[in-house]
Amino acid sequence: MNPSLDRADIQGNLLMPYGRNTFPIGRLLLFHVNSLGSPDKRPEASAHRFIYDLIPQITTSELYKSKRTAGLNIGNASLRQPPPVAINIALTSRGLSAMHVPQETLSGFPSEFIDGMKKRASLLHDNIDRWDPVWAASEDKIDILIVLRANFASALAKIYRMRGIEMRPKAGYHSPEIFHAARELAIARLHRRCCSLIEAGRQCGLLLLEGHAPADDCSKNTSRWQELESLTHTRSEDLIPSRPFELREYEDLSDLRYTEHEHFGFFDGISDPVFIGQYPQEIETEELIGQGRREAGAWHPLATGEFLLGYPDEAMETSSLPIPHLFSRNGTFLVVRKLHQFVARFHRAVHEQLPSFQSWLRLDDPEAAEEEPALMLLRAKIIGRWNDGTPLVLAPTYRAWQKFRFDLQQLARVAESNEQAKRELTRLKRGFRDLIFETMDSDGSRCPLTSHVRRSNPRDSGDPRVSEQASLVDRRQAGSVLVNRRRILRRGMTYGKPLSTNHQHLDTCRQNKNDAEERGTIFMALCVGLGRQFEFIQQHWLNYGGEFGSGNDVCPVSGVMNPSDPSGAAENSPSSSKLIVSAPVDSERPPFILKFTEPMVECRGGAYFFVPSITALRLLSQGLIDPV
Amino acid sequence: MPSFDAGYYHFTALLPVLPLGTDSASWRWNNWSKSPLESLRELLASFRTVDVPTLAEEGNQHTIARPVPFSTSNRTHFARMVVVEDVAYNGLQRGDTLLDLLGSLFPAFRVLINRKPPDHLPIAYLLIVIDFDSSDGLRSSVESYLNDLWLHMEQEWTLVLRHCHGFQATPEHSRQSFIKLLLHYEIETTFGFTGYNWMARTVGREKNASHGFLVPSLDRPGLLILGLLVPIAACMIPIVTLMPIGLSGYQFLVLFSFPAIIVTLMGCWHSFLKQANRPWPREPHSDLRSILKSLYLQHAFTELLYELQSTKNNRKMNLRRRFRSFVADVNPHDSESPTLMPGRLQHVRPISSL
Repeated sequence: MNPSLDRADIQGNLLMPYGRNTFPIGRLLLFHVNSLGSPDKRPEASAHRFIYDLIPQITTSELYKSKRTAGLNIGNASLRQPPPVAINIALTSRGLSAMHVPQETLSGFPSEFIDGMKKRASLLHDNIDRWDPVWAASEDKIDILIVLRANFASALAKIYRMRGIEMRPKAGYHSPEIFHAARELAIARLHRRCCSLIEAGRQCGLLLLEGHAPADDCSKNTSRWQELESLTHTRSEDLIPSRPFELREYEDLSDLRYTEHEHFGFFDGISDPVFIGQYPQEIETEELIGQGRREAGAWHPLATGEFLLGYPDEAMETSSLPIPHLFSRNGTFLVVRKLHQFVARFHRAVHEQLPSFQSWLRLDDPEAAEEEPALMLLRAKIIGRWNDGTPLVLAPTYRAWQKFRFDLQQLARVAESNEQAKRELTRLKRGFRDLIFETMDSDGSRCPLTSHVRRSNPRDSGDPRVSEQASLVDRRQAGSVLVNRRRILRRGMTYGKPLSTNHQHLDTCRQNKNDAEERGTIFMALCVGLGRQFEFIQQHWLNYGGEFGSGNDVCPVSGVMNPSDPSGAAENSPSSSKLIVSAPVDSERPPFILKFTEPMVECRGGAYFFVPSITALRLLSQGLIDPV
Repeated sequence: MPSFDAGYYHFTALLPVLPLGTDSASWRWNNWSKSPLESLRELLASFRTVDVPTLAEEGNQHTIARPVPFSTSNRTHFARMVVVEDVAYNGLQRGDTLLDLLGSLFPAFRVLINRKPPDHLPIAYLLIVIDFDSSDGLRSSVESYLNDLWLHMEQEWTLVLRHCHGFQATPEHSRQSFIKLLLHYEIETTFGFTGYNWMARTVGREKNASHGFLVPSLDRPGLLILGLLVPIAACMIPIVTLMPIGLSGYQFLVLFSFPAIIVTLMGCWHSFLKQANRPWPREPHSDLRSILKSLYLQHAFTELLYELQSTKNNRKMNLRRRFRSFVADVNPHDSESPTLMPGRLQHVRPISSL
């Protein structure tokens, strides 16, 4: 029987992500515990007090009222509205030690967590010289992380109410005026909450760590915390210009919404692992398709112990835990990495390779070689998905993608009133994640074997039980054995203003030589085995190509390259990296070779945190952790 | 065949390390005695395994890294030297509860309770594991490889073997003594570290598929029937030939059929062992030089493709000319140069080094 998880004991954003358009604005605060208070003469105003007071304000994983939970059978209890500002807390190993957690409990934590990300930077090929001051210089001071996320939906509701207009679906488009008013409101709420937390922390001896920007650029106002905000899209950006829909009277092309795209222009965050107990049964059956564990032609949920401490994992073991059991159960580990994105450089590099890619396409498909389709295809080959997240495996050509997009948008418009269209839409949307590579694309002619999505989640490819000569029927049996123990829950957010809403603005990219402006992704991942899950993916799949038969070639977007600095931390990294794009099966074209000579993403800091359960936080704040 | 498979010789030797105080001061530093094991370990750790700077200062000064000892040989796939101090402790031998009970009741039985103490190695050993290309796996070829190794690494081997039993360091004997010592302490193994042959086979299979090399030479059912027929025939022949002489069934069985079956089974067993001991055949182009060359070619060829796909002028004549000059540059049939260098990361041995 599936365990029923104590959702109210588990911190929020863990079982289900805070939606990037429900909670699109956030802040990341780092605190240092002034170790003045010793355990015997603990003053009232101490870090313990701070955490104790914070506990009731912490957002948990309990189910909130939303479109997703609408039809759920959850007994007599009625679901609450999500809070206006979600607050979550995590601690580093140093932080736990500063909170006087007994040594015996501390020693039970895995060594990756005790060492911290800075000590393990060389393993991840990170160059600490490039880290922001807050992560690099004062990493030895980082004790507590608090992440705040403002609820945009409730702000929207308030604005609509104030103006006496009927509320539109929160994830839909809103007129710029309403959108900006709601954004201001959400930011004001967030700021108020943030300031009161910092003040409460100050009174309890918590020092706010500053310097969330490169050292030469640390102006006082912007560097006290890390701002997070989803990118916005206008309606016209999401529509297919070639096949216009007729707009309804209240709709306008300039209407805005928060989107899940990242700065390079790709839809991010599709396909997150599904594990036992994570979702209510009704949702689970649908969610696990394409996201769970694949075995014998079917999808199953992954073991809970891969993502939460205290439960059996995929090896049917309960990993060794810090004692007491109560302290670690329902907790997990959080990886935070600030990844600066060289957006102008990325667009420039893609455009530089575009002419040769076009002439390669022209060899047997002149239509696909036109500028726009070729550019979109080249970008898709790098990631493995088109801009809007449509998998290359599903739509291998520009035409197929456009058709898929059109069908999707058309269905979405009629689905509001038509039940059958709604079911059809669900089926179509499933296509975003319901992928298996062995049967759909075992040779990588649709989605290159070393594209970003195939590297970071190879799914069923490479199942050792399937030989190279296997028939299609045998391939269908391929499972995800190699991947099951390497999954992570991704909870990343973008930060910084977008470079340009239109990626074709090449001039902007050419002028912006050094990509100095703060812009990128705060990568956040949750898993139980930092070394086995997160570090393995980073080290073996993204920073090395051995498992995909491409030697030293690294991931074209997130791999570390080392073009000029042979004495840096990443001295073993290659100076350039290639991505081989195979021609379609029926074509006689030679493969296309894409070559990047500069890294597109750079780590600017990060750390490993422990995300305790609510029970553990109480034990921690009351000094009741007893390993005996 | 132990130690030799698919064209690779898996050389494994356990050399006894001299205990403290048995040697003259040859490896002693200063006037103080130093643990021979620690001295040997320190020495081994000082050998480079890869040519990247290990210390930050080295990287900053751009000093030339010391060469990697084994990289001077272009037959060595893998080499490792480890000091084996003792066997891993696996716990005490399990006792027999019944004997323990008897021993406690009747003291006379105590002699039966013979619990062995934990196992230990009497002395420490130096484990040497080297995988190298060998055409036949014969002793002479191992000797010639060791001879080569000595020529390139005389200094390192002399320092290492001074810690071991039986090495004669005098210049006139040292080479012979090195080869003799390593061969004397060699042990058989079926554990290899090198396994490119399956890869070479996959590549080769694609190449050979059109020539029909995939068809197995003998089908399995045929072999099975043959295996059954031979012993039956061995029994039948005496029956058919000796029946007319007039022997009874019983006499006949004892005199001829049993011995015939036994001889046949022994023959089968012998042939089975012989088959099982036969080394796996060597795949073409799976030696170190070919592998380094092919990795180099793979890299150079993708670079060429990249260069060509970004040039405007892709007329056949130009392509041909460019490819001709590429072939002249990379020299595909010459596995010596240009090629990657063993033990060096991202280093290409240029043609001029010839």
